[in-house]
Amino acid sequence: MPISNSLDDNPLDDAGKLWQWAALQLERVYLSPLADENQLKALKQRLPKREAQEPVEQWLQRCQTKLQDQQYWEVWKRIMGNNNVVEIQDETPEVIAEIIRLAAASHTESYPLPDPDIPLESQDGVFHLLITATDHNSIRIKLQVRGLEAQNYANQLLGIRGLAEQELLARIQLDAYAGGEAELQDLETVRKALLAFEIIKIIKG
Amino acid sequence: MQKQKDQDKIRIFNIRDRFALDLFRLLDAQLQADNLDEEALIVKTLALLSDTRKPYARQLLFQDYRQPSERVIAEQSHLYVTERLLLYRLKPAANLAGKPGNMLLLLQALFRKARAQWTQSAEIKRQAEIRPHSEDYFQTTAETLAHLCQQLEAELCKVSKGQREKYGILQLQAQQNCAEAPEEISFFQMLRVLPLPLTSLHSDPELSKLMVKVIDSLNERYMLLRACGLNPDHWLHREELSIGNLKNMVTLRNTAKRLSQLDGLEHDVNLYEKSFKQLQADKNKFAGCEHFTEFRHSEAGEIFLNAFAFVDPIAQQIIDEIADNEKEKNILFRLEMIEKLIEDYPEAFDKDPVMLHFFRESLAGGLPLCGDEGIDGVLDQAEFQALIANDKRYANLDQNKLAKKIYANAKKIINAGHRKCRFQIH
Repeated sequence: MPISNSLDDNPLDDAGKLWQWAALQLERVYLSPLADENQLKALKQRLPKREAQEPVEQWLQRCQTKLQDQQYWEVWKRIMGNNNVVEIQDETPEVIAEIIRLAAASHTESYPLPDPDIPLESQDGVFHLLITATDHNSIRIKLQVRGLEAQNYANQLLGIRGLAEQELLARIQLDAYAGGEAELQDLETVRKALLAFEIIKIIKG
Repeated sequence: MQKQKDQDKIRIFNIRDRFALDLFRLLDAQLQADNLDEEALIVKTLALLSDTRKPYARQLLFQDYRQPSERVIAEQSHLYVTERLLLYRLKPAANLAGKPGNMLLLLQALFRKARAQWTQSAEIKRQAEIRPHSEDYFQTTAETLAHLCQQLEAELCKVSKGQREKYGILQLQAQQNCAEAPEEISFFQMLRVLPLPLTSLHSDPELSKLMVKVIDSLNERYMLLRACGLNPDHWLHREELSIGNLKNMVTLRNTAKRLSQLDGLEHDVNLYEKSFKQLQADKNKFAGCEHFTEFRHSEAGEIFLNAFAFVDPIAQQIIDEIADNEKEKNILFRLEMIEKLIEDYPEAFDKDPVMLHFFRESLAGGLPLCGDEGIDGVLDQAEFQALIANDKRYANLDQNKLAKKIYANAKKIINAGHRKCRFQIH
């Protein structure tokens, strides 16, 4: 959904604009935790070290310059996640199917983020299921791991190597427009992803 | 009494309100320590702005909508924190008539929050001359202030110099202690003056309002550049493009949009030329240019026109951010907007009084969904709790799950409502 925040002219005459405004306002009034400790720790480790007696202004400028460094940027990207993260709360394949259907239906929007009705995220916020509409009738699902500590979790507990770097768990072809029924060709892989969520939940208590 | 109590609540009407509140939550913990951990504050602020689960990447930071990039988010959060929020020295407005600006008022208010009793009567005001005096406990404050004034001396802007000459020297006075205060001060410098530890900040909505004003002032140039499609990374310090010119450009975009809607004109360069001429009328210059051709071929004008004239509707979403005005904070008007939505999609609310209440109190009223220490959220309201207790769908959920469910349901209603109205249009 394109985002607009216009209150000029007469917004009462434009229901579309009003719904968009409500979407923006909802995002603002939902107070999320300020930061997670893993994220902060990883970020702090990767910022340039502040020399003894170095003025904070100078150090800040060095941090900013460091962003030009490709390697640093890659790390930053992994710590902070990206725009296509979809947070989901329920775990049943049926819910996933519905989300996939919505994601595919949304691919023509100017903002490429699928807009599922129910967000899905592992309880500690570390694992995210990522869904992106790639072209007309297909979408991509990726389990994303947030933070570098989480990568170790993935390797050790789930036995999935390189998960944080890239790997997508399933690519699913579907017909989003055939009566709203999504045909999942690789449901098993989706289940595996969901299993990963369950494991994390148990471990984290 | 109830009305007064309601006025005292912290409300979120726009993205700057939200940022001020989050910054407040960050500072609350930091300033209750004996020393300010500057690095921790910076890292936390960077993380806050860069985290794409929060609204800032989309609603506060600049993005080039023609080529969306995650890298821009990281770069912009660094830029915003470094060159706007923390290190930028806020200059006084010319119409202050000698009164301290908002940053200094924030310093005064925060100073009074210190646990030490002697800070309670602290005041920043002007005097014709200054007689510095420091008891032992005031020494550190006096030294920090002296250092700041000394650093600033050679860099004072004209307005600051003029105010000092006309109205006297600014000074911080606390009991019998007195020291010169700087005319211009950055957020970070302001924090360094504070006699830590402070008491909790959250229970003071006035302080939060002051913080919003400071964020608004710090944000002004960044926001205007963003609204004009000009990357602040290149334009933040280029003073040839004044605030006035940027405001003109925003007006130009809004006028072009309105003309396009009213007269059904094509959204192209001719429309902008027509709008430019209409706005310029008999003025010598508009947006810093004598005529449209000059504007069109200027560096900023070219980027502006490319960003907006031909990239609708994405362009619209950026420029619309600037359309904030008085209505934005008018609860009655906001309620009217929400009532219109409820009327538009009654079936979503008919059997769900919890959502109905949430839309009115939170989306219109600006109350956060769940509160924090000292901050009232909708979930804290007795009336809302009674509605939840009577509804099986919500009654047995713990606070965290309840907040997530309400958020998810509201999102569902908004998405469905938006789809429904688009379907009706088509």
